[in-house]
Amino acid sequence: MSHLPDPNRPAHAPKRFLPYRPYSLEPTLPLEVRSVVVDDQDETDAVLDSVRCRVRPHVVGDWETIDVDLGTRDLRAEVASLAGLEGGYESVALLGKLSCADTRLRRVIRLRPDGRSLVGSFEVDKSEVRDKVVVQLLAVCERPPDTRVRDVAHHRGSLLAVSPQWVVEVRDMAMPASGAFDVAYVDFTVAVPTGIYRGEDANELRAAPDAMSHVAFRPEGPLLLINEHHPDLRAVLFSKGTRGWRARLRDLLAPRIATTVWRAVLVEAWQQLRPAGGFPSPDDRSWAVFDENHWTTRALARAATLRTKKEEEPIPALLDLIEDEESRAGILTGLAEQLASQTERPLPRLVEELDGK
Amino acid sequence: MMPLCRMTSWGMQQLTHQMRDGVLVEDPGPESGWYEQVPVAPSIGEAFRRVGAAPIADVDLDAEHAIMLRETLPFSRRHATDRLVWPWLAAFYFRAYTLQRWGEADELTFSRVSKDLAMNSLARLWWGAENSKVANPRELTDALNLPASDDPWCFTRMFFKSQTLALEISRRLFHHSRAATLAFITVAHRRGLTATQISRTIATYNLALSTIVVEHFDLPTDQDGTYATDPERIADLTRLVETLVEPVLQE
Repeated sequence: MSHLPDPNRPAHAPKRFLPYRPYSLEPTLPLEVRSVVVDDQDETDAVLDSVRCRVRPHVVGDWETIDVDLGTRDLRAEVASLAGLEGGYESVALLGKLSCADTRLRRVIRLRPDGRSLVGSFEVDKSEVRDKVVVQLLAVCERPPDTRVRDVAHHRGSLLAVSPQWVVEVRDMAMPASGAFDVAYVDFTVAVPTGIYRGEDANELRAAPDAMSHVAFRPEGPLLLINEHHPDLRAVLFSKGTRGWRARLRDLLAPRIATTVWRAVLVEAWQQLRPAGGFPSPDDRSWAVFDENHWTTRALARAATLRTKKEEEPIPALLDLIEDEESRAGILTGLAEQLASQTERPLPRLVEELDGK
Repeated sequence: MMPLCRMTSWGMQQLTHQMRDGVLVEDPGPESGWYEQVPVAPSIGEAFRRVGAAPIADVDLDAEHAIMLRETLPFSRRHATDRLVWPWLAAFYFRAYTLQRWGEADELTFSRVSKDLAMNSLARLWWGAENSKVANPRELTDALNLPASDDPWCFTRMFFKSQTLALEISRRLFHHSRAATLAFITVAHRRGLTATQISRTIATYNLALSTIVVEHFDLPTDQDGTYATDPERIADLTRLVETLVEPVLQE
């Protein structure tokens, strides 16, 4: 006689409690998100993380509404296997369920046949959800109650099978409004394209699975990658408190990451400026031909602007120097040389020295 | 008229401390740091100002107050589940109502001004009305063998007719499924269940619903926020409640 508890009977329910399901509920029904429209803009590629079943609208900025299209492949085989369960279900209904635990939102998503597959859609207004929204495909019993069938969920609406959960993350945006870089959280051990990360430097990331951060250079600007392999790092960096060990760690780590990033940006800028034939003589500046659309120029100008906004006293000298094309190359070369010789010195001090000169 | 506010964590600590003796303190004022203004849409701000004076407290008027609050305060779900808004409403804005409805100051318990949506003197009213409003009352009352009614709040009135019924349903997760809530209200009303019978039946009902996808019984909510419900599906759930209530009635 086995005394193992029945995992499908709710806690504290009497043993004679019916209806319960004598079989486990493993996710068996595939469900895919086909498109995501964020505030009337199709952002499917940017916000969809199919590997982890995540929809992350905040990576494209603050949002108000999202419109999501769902779809399934041909599920007739799965439904037929459900219909063949003990008890002989005459019919099985498939429906989508949308729920937000924080705001108690529970809503049904009706699916309609489209060829051999099922399709459906739902719209979420940010004013009615918080934290996260879970979307799931469910197979339920769709027939009149039949209590003659024992030990099997027999009531109409009883749960038969579930799909993996799709989670819509509800956040304001991925970065603070004043952030200078795009940021993505990536597990360096796998480096799978996720959200705005499109797989840049994947081999380098896999080679350094324990690194804290990395900067990927893209035509539209640098992308700061933070290693999600460290489960506590994200919580520390996003902590909002002013006291406690998380806040102290955040204050310690954030400047370190920022220094690393800016150093990488300047070294990359210097590499872009270096001529193919090696370093020129100090007097020869004819090689310094800038592409105005290149991100290094924009990144430095943006950084200087941000710094100007944040400081009580602006730094007109730095701005003027950067806007002056002829001296721009010299500044970058000088900075890079100083960086090469004093790699451990924090960048802000270099900028202050430059400003003082 | 004051704008809509929410308690700060400091304010909740102070309120908890003050309420240990069952005394509801006077409004310490916005400079105290106990609460802060909530940024709301202009329509909500205007609606909130229209609520004005506190309603007259009476046990029998719970349903009327609930309907009034739900109609006057068009909170989004995000606002309505903000657990720090309701303590401010109950403790300060509707202070007179809370004191009058839940006894004299020396009998008032902290739960009535707490963050608990089922116990807070105002949140219980708003959410009770929100989860029992129907768009097709005549269709439902006819199908469920209830006295015919065209009142979209007819189930709200049944819900608040019994304090036990309102409390027991509000404390369960199925409260936020309109179909599951309406089915239980219907059976409790039809059978005239006592407080003990309600408590015993609802525990079993809650267990039974753990194996059932209650969303299956809801129709998609319209864009304008109306809550149409399929009478046949509700009737199906009421049959489940009937089977569960039978053993309780025979005891």
